[in-house]
Amino acid sequence: MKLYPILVRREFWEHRALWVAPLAMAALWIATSAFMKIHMGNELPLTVAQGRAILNVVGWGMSVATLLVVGVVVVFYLLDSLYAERRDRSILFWKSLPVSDAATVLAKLAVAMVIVPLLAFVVVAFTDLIARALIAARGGAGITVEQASIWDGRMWWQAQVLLFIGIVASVLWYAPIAAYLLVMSAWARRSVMLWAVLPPLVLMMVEGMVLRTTRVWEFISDRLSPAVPIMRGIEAQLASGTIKIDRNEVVLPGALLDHVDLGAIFLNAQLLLGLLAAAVLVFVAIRLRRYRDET
Amino acid sequence: MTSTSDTPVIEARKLAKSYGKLRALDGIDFKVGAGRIVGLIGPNGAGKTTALKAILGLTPFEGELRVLGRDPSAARDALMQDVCFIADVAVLPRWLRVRQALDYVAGVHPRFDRARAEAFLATTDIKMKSRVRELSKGMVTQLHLALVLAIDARLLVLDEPTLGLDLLYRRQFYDTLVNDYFDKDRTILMTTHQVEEIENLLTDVIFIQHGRVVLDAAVEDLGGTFRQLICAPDQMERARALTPFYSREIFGRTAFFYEGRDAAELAPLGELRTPSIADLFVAKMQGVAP
Repeated sequence: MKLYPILVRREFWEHRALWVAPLAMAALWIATSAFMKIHMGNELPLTVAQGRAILNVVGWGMSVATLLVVGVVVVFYLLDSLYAERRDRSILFWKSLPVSDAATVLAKLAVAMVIVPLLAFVVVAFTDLIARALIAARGGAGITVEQASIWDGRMWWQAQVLLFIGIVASVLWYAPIAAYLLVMSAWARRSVMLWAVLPPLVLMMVEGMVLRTTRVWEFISDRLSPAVPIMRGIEAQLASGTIKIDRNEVVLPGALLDHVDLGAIFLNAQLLLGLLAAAVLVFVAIRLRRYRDET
Repeated sequence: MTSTSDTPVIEARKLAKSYGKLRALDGIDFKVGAGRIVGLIGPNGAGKTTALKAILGLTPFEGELRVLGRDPSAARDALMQDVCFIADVAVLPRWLRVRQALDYVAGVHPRFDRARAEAFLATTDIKMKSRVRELSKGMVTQLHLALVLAIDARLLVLDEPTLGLDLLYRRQFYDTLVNDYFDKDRTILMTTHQVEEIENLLTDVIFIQHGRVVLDAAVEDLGGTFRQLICAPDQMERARALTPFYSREIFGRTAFFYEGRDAAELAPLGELRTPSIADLFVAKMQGVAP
C-alpha cells in the first residue's frame, strides 16, 4: 500500500489538468464573486431570505458546474491513462520497475474515481465559502452583508452534504463507464476516443436496423444521464407527493437533503450490477496492460 | 551472495515463441551464469528482443525459462525487484522531470540508492528541474543509466541501449557500466548492433539467427575453437581442403575461418589470428545457410 502515494503523484505530474481544472474553475468563481452585480430590477431591496436563497443557488450552480468540468477532465484522463505510455513508448520504463500491472491500473482508477472527486469537492466547498465572504465584504452589490452571511450554517452544510452524496453516488454510478474507458485506453492502438464511442454506436445501429428497437440507446442514455444517481433518491417521493414543489418559491438544494433516500441511491440493483461490471472491466484492463505486446 | 555462481541466473530450455506463422524463437537452450557479461548478438529479426522480452516476463512463451530461479511470466512483479532493464534510448516519458524520475524510482524500488543516482547526475550537465523532452538523446541515456546504476539489481538487461548515440556517449555509457556497476554478483545481458564496441567487455557471446542459437561460448574459449587464417597465396588449395566455414577477401588476400582446427595444422599456410567477435559474427551468420 505504501506504493500508492507515489503512483498517485505520478498521475498528477503527467496529467496536470486533473488539478489545474478545478483550481481554474475556483479562480473563475472567486473572480466572479469579486466583481459580480446582481440586478433584481424593481424588487430591490431583497429580503434576507431572498438574498440567502440567491447565494445558495448561485453557490450550488457553481459547484455543479465545477464538478461537471472536472468530470470531463476525468473522462479524457481515463482515455489517455493507459494509452499515453504506449504512444510515447515509455511503457517499458514503467514496466522495468517493480510495480505490478494491477497496482498501476488501480492507482489510475483511484485517481479518477476517488482522489480527483475528493479534491474537487474540497475545492468547491472552500471556494463557496470564500466567494460568500467576498460578496459579504463587498456588501453593496445588491446583497447586504446580512443576506450574504455565511453563518447560515445549516443550509450551507446541507448543501455540502447533498453535494457529497451526489459525488459519491455519481462515482459509483459511473464506475462501469470509467472501467470501460480504461479498457479502451489499454486496448486501442490509436484514437482511443473513437474506439470508445464506436462499439456502442455500432450496437445501436445494428439493433435499430435488425430489431427496430432502441434498447441499447435507452440503456446507455440511462447510464449516462447525470441526474440519475441522485434523482433515484428523490424521484419516488416526488411521484408520491412527499415533496411538493411550489413553483413560486425557490427550492434550496440543501432543503432536498431531508428527502434523500440513501437506501434507494446506493442499494439499487442497477448500481450494484454496474459495480460488478466495473470490477470485471478493471480486471480486463489489468490483463491487457500485462499482456499487450506491441513494442 | 557467494553461491550465485553454481545456479545460473538465466536458464532456458526449449524456449520458443511464434508470432502467427513466424517462429521468432525456435526452441532454444542457453544458460547465463552469475557475474558474466553476455552479448546476445544476431541480425535484425533473429529473435534477440523476443528472447529478452521472455526473460523480462513481457511476453508469453513456450518452453521452460527460469530467471533468478523464478518463472518470469508468473512472478514478473517479484522478479523486477532483482532485474533492471533499459529497452532503448527513447523510452523515458517526455513530460517527466529529472527530480520526478528520482522521486518515482525511490518511491517504488526498495533497492534504489538515491544519493548514488544524484552523485552520478552531478557529473553530467543534467539539471534536476529539466524535463526529459529538454534533454538531448545522450543525456536521456545518462539519466536512465543513473537510475539503473543506483538500483542494486542482480541482473541488468540492455536492449540496444546506445542506439542512436554518438561515439562519445556510447563509450562513456559502457565505461560507466563496467567500472561503476559491474561486479561478480551482477550479471549483464545485452544486445547491440555495434558488436565492435562491446567485444572487449563481454565474457560470453550467444549468437542467434532465425530463432536458433548458432554459437554459445565464453569469450576466453573462442581462441581455442575458432581461428582466422590470412592465407598465403600459394597455399589456397590446402587451406580450402581443411574446410573453412567462411572465407572473406581482405586487401586482396583471403581470410579463412575455421572451427575446431589445430593451430599447428594451419600455421604453415599463412598468418594465424584469433578472429574478433565481429568477424566471427559475420562469418557465422553468412557461413550458415539460412
